[in-house]
Amino acid sequence: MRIPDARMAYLVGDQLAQTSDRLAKLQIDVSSGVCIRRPSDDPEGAQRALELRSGLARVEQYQSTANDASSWLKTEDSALGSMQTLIRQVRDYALQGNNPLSTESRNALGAQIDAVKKSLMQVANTSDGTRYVFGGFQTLTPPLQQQAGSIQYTGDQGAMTVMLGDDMPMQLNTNGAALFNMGGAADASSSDLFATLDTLSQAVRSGDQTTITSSISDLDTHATRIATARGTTGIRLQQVNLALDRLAQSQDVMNESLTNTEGTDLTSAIVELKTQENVQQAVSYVASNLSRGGLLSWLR
Amino acid sequence: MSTFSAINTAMSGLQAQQAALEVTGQNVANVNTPGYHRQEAVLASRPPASSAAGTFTPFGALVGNGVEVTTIRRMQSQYVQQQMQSAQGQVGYWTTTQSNLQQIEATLSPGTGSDLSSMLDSFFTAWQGLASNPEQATLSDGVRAAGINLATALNSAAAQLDTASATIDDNLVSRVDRLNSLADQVADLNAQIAVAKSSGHTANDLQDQRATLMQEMGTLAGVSSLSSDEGSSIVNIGGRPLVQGTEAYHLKVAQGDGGAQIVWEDDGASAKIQSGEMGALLNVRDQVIPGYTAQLDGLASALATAVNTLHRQGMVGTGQQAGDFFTGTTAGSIQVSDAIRADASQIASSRVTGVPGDGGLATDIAALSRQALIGKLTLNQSAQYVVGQIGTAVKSAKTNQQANNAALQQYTTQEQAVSGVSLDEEMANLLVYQRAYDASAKVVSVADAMLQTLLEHMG
Repeated sequence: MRIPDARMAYLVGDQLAQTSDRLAKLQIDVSSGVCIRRPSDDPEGAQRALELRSGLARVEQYQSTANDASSWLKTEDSALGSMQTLIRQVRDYALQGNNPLSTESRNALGAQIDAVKKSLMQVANTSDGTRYVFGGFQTLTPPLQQQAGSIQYTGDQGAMTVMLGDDMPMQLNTNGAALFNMGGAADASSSDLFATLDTLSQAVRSGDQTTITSSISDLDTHATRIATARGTTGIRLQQVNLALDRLAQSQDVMNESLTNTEGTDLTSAIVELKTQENVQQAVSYVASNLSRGGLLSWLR
Repeated sequence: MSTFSAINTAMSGLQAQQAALEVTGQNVANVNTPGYHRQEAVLASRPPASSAAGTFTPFGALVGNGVEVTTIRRMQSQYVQQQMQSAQGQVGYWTTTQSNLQQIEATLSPGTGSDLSSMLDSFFTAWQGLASNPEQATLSDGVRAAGINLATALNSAAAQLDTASATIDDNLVSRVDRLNSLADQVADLNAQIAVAKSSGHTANDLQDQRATLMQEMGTLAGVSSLSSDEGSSIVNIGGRPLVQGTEAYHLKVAQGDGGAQIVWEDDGASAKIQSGEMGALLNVRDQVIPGYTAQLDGLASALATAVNTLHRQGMVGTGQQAGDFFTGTTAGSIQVSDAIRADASQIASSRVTGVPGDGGLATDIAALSRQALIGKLTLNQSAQYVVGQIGTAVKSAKTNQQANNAALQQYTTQEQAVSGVSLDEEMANLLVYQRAYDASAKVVSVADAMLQTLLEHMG
């Protein structure tokens, strides 16, 4: 087949252009480290990369939620711990009150019990910085308030659920009413913690041993309730920590996938780059030799 | 006398070789002219004149009367040219398709973090954040901001697709004008070629011009054409003639519902253009862009409906029922509602009033991101699928363009093999014609010497 001169020049020029094109793409792949810059570079890869990014965004959000939940639960745990300490103190006072004592000592003990009662109320109104933890959904008002001579629960029965992952809800809060048996929420037949403390205080001052003894057993029931709640909180905290571990792992896996999907494999890209450079040199050499030779240069 | 006729014969040789040399010169001068078809002088020996003119040899045989250039033939291959033309139409089609699809690709995949999938992620994670901390006003602001960003992204994508459609309309108008102008020029050339051929001349350069114009028409609109031996040609598009001999028929652009429509000027019937650049523009505007617009609208509608249905169950403020979160159900019209844009506390996170710690409604809205709201796909999956689709479309347009271009180059090389100028060949021809010229000149001088001898020794 005849290849006329102009056609030969075009074909070689076209080859050169194609080689340069491939070279340019490889150079950008290597220098940017990303080989999917537009969806058309690798449609399935681009779609997968979007899925992974979406997954990573969700994981980040769950991590944030889990961290908030962790802070809440730690607040609860520390508060419950304080309550246990305070109740043990009261118990000691009560036991002391069972002994024969002078009126002054009795009054002093009674006053101490009253003081502990105030502290307990303060602890029950703990907040994690912005929200009251024992009031159910009523997070903006202190759940225990002094009303008409006694302490009332002004929170509600709301159960907060946090999502630790897709379809992984966990109840977060401990309800104050159930905790202290306010309004008979845990046991309708007995009284709440603060009423028990009031009774105890009176009994200690008056030296009423029967009442003191029965109050001490009520106190034990309250203490057990608080200990159980603390155990539950501890378990929830564990769940949150497990969730955080799991989320961190997911994050690592997804980040690695993302790099594999859209990142350039430097080794093979550089090898290909070198090959293309050689090809370009070869094509340039051929192109430069086109203009030599031919019959024209041989004729006189 | 036989000597004079020998001189005549030699003269015809000189003239013919000189003509052939001139044709070679023309070829060499045009070695780099695009669209030039190599020409060849066709030499034929002149038949003997009648015996009355006085040529005879001892045995009564008649000697021919020299050589003449019967015609200057233009080297072309009609068959390959027609294959080239249809390949050109395809190449024009896929090149234009690829470049338009790449623009749409940039619209639908603007860059990491700005695409719809990321916007949807930010929106739903903002709701999730609000759910775990509903008392915090900044989180409501965050939800509102994420909602506005999402709506804006959808608006922007829809607007850019509309703009792309409008730009195509403009492009079509300018291409129709160009096509009409080419048709006029071809008809004109047909007339000139017919005149030249009927008076016995060749019209090689006019034919070269016409071939170039018809190639451009092929790229523009995928026309099919036929050239007859008398030098006339027909150019068809969608089964109707654009050029028929010396008549050119025009197309025009009529504004219709779906944008600019291409119709025939004389009767307004619509023109069937399915190939070439114009075919590609029509396909992108009428099939591709509406397809993506419909998907975006579907996404916006599903998003707005699902979020609003839940949001309306919520309570805000001091006991008012919450309103819609989004207004508008198409990608171009979706907006965060005016009430919420003015006041982020109109965003409901709970179904009940007076419970600041309850984020139940917000949790449910956040969970929408995992529900199959569009067929079997979640909103995110649908947005991701659109990106995959456009990527595949661009990639396959590129592949088609390369394949058709490879075919076109093959045909072009074949065609050039017939019609291209090879300098080596022309140099060899130069030698051949020069030698022949020298030889004929020698014949003249020898015949002259013989005549001289005759005159000197007989007078």
